[in-house]
Order: sequence, then C-alpha cells, then structure tokens
Amino acid sequence: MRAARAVEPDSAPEQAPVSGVPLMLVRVGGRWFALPAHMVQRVAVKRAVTRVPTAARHVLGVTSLRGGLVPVVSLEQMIGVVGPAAADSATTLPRLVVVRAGECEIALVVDEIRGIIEELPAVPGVKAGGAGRPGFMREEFDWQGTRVCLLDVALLVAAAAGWSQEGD
Amino acid sequence: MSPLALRAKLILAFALVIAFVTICFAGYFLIQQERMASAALVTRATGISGVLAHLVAPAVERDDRLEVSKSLAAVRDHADLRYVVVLKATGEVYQRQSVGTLGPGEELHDNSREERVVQARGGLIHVLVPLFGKDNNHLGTLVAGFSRQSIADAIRASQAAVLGGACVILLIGVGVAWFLALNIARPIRAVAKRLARLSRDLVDSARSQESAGVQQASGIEQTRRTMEAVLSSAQQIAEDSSAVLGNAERTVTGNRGVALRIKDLNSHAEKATEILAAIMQVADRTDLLALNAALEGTKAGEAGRGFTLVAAEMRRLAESVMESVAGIRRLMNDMRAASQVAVQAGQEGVALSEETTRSARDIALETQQQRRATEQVGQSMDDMAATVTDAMARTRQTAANAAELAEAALQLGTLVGSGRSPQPVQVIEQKPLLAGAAGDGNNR
Repeated sequence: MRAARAVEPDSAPEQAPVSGVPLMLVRVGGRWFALPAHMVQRVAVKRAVTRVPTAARHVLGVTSLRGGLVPVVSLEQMIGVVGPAAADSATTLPRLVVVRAGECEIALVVDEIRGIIEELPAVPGVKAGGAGRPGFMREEFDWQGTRVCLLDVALLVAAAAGWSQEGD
Repeated sequence: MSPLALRAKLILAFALVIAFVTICFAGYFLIQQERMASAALVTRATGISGVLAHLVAPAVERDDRLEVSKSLAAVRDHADLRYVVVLKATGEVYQRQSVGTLGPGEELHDNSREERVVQARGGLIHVLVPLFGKDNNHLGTLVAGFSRQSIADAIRASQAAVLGGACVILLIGVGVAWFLALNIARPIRAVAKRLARLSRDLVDSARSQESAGVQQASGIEQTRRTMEAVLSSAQQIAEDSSAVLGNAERTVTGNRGVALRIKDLNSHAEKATEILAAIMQVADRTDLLALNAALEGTKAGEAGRGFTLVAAEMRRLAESVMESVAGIRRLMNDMRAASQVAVQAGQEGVALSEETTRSARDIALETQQQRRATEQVGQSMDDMAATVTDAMARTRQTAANAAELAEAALQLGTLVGSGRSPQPVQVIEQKPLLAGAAGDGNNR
C-alpha cells in the first residue's frame, strides 16, 4: 500500500463550507454520501477482490486498478449499519470509487453513483457527528429531498490507512 | 240312420263268415252225396243187369220165352228198376217188362256189343249188357232202366240234415262272435277313453304352452325394442366419441404446435436476454466512462465544464438505456415466467389431450364392441322370436292334432259302444304372435 500522509481527525474544522465544491453523490446501502470530486481519482467497476488475511474487517482486500494494487474498503463496515437499500434501486453495477488523500489511495465500494453535483444548497449542513460517529462524516444536508452525508476524504483515508499502518 | 256299433259289426261279420263257410260246406256235402248216390245206383244197376243178363242169356239162346219172363219177374220188385227189355241181335224186342207207366221214348232199344254200357238219359240210368251164347255168339242185348228218384230222395233227406246242422253251426258261431266281439271291444273302449283323456290333457297343455309362448314372445319383442334403442344409443355414442377423438387429436396437434412455438419463443427470449445483457454491459461501461469523463471535466475546472455537461448527458442516456434494459429484462423475466407457465400448461394440455384421445379411442372401441354385442343380442332375439313363433305354430298344430285325436277317441268310444256323448275339444285360434319378428331380424 502506498504511504499516506497522516491526518489528525481532531484537526478537522467545526463548520466546513460545502458550497462551491463539486461533490460526487454515492449510495451505500440505504444512505447517500457526498465525496469531493477533486478527491476522487476515478471510478471503476467492482471486480475481483483478493482478501488480505491480516486486514481489518472494513478492508475487503486489494484489487488491481491500472497496474497498481488498491485496497478496497467497505464504507458500510466502517460506519456500521447503513440500512437496507431499496430493492432494484440500482440501475448500474456496484462501483469502486478510488479516492486519494495525499499519497494514499483507497477504493470505496458503493452501490450506486448519482453523479457529480456542481451547486449545493445555500443552507449549510448540520454537523453529522455524534456519539460513536466517525470523524470523516462531517455534515449532512438535503439535496432534492435526499439526506446526504458529506464525507471528509482525508479523514476517511486516514482512518482506513491509519488502521492499515497500524496493521503494518 | 245311426251307425252300427263295432260290436254288432263284429258279430255280423263273424256270422256272415260262418254262414258262408256253412253254405259252402253244405253245398259241397250235397254234391258229394249226389255223386256217391249216383255211383251206388250205377253199381247196383250194373250188378243187377249183369246178373239178369247171365240168367237170361241161356234162355234166349234156347228161345225159352217163359224162362226169360220168369227171370225178369224175379227182379221186378227192385225199387229202382223201371223197365227191362231183352233185344235180339236184330233189334227186335224179345221180351220186356216195366214198372209203372213210361213216357214215350223213355225206354232205350239200342243193341250194344260192348260190355255194360251205362247211359244217363232223361230221369233214368240205362244199362246195356250184351247177351252171348255158348259159342260166344251175340244173342242180343239186355237193356235195364233204373230210376234216379232214390238219389233225389237221398239228397232231399241230406238237405234237411245239412240245413239243421248249418243253423246249429251258425248259432254257435254267432255266440262265439258275440263273445269275441265283447272281449275285443272292451279294451278298445278303455283305450279310447284313455286316449280321449290324454288328448284333452294334451290340448290343455298346448293352451298353457301357447299362453307361456305369447308371454315369452311379448318379452322378446320388448327386449328386442330395448336392444334397438341401446343400439341406437351406442351408434350415437360411437359417432360422438369419434368426433371427440378427432377433436382431441387436433387438440394434441395444436398443443404440440403451441409448445413448439413457446419453446421457440423461449429460445428467442434467451437470445434477447443475452443481447440485453450485452446492451446492459455496454451501457454500464458507457455510464462508467461518462462518469469518469465528468470527473475529469470537473477536475479541469471551468475549461472542462462543457465536457462535464456532455459527459453528464451521456451518463443520463446510459442510465436511461440501463433503466430501459432493466425494464425490458423485467418484462422478459415476466414473459419467461409466463412462457414457462404456458409451456407447463401446454405440456399438461398435451398430456390431457393425449389422455382424452386415449379415452375417446377406448370409448370408441368399447362402443364398437358394445354395438357388435348389441347386434348379436338383437340377432339372438330375432332367432329366439322365430323359434318361439315356430314353437307356437307347432303347439297349435299339436293342439289341433290333439283335438282331432280326442274327437277320434270319442268316435271310437261311440263305435265300440261306450254310450257317452262326445265332448268337443276347441282348437286354439290362429293369431299372429310377433308382428314381423323374423322380418325385422332380416331387415336389421
């Protein structure tokens, strides 16, 4: 795994502005998440994943993307239960969303990608943190009637990679 | 005139036979009596004439008329002698003597050199005896005539005796005939009575048999009509089953064709599913490419905005395609499920149609066998009806014969003297039993 720059979770701002930043909306289970588009390297079809024996539960394994091995991370395992998805709601195959923070890349398994949204609502999001919530879930906002949780990719990669570094 | 009884006839017949035999016997007896009396008279006449000629011949040779007369007088008292004439060889009457008066020409004056010639002429027997001398010279002829009255008297006396004997025999014969006729008529009369009783019983039996035959014929006729109705129903069932068989076979053929079409449709659906999978894969890849393109356009900032919009539009198209494909896939799945159900239903329909075909074929076969059996039963009914009709005719004939037999028995009883009045026996009336039973059987 590529070396990732360490990011402190506590250093995340209390209220981060989300407007003006293109976001990619993805669905994991029954929940929608937003990822900053500039942090997304590419999107690929979910393919064969080779399990890593000593990896954590949320690391499903590694897969080959463009000649390199990328860890495949289950956001559902990291967050916990996200609720069941509506039957036959996905029109596409499961995707791998490759995000990059520093030098570290991980592939998130998502069930559906809504697309990239350029303009966010003017209403600021609500802090999504709470008891037991991971720090990479920054805030939630409504978009076209759907509750979307903004993810901090750096913290997310740090959480996955930090475990990975600990595992190493 | 009332007919004579058998007993009287028998007695009369026996009496006639006995009378005939008696008459024949009496006639024969009288004839033999006359013949014997004639022979005895001839014997006496020739004897007397011979003796007299032997006595007279020497006196004639000596020409002693007195001696001749004495010799003739010696036989004058003979009962049958009527005359004696001594003729000389020249035919001259030398001496004669007669008893009573003789008619003209009654005496015979013929010379004869033959010894003892007997001639019957008129009512006398004439004996001619030649007279010879010592030198055996012919002296003349002695002619003696004897009366036949003694023969007639003897016959007359015999006739009375014969008549009396015949009467006695006839009476005895009539008595024997009466006894025999009585012994013959009695068993005949008993047989006649028994025969009459048996004939009446036979007539009664024939009537009962005819009554049973009429009932049997009625039952046969009813059974025959029922069998005709059953035959008609069997024919109708056979026609209906044949129609069902044809429809079932056409249904089997149609269901097999439907199953083949559904199978082809499933094959086409599978191919369409494969094509849809390929389209889905292409659309998914297009969506992925559009997403990455939009991502790159976003990263390019303001310069890549147009590129991002085009990519987003491409992605929407790809998603639209994938949604359409998903909808088509759902429709295909529904159609496949429906076709599976249709295939199963078609197979069940084929199975049911084949079962229906077998059942219809079995029904047709069974109906055909039933029709043949019914026809055989009808033929048997016709044969039985013909047999019953024939038996009825024979029964009537038997009854008629029995009636005639009874009538004959009564007449026989009357003839043998039973004294009973005949009881008439009614002959069964001729009437048709089965209206065209045999004809119907032939027309079937």
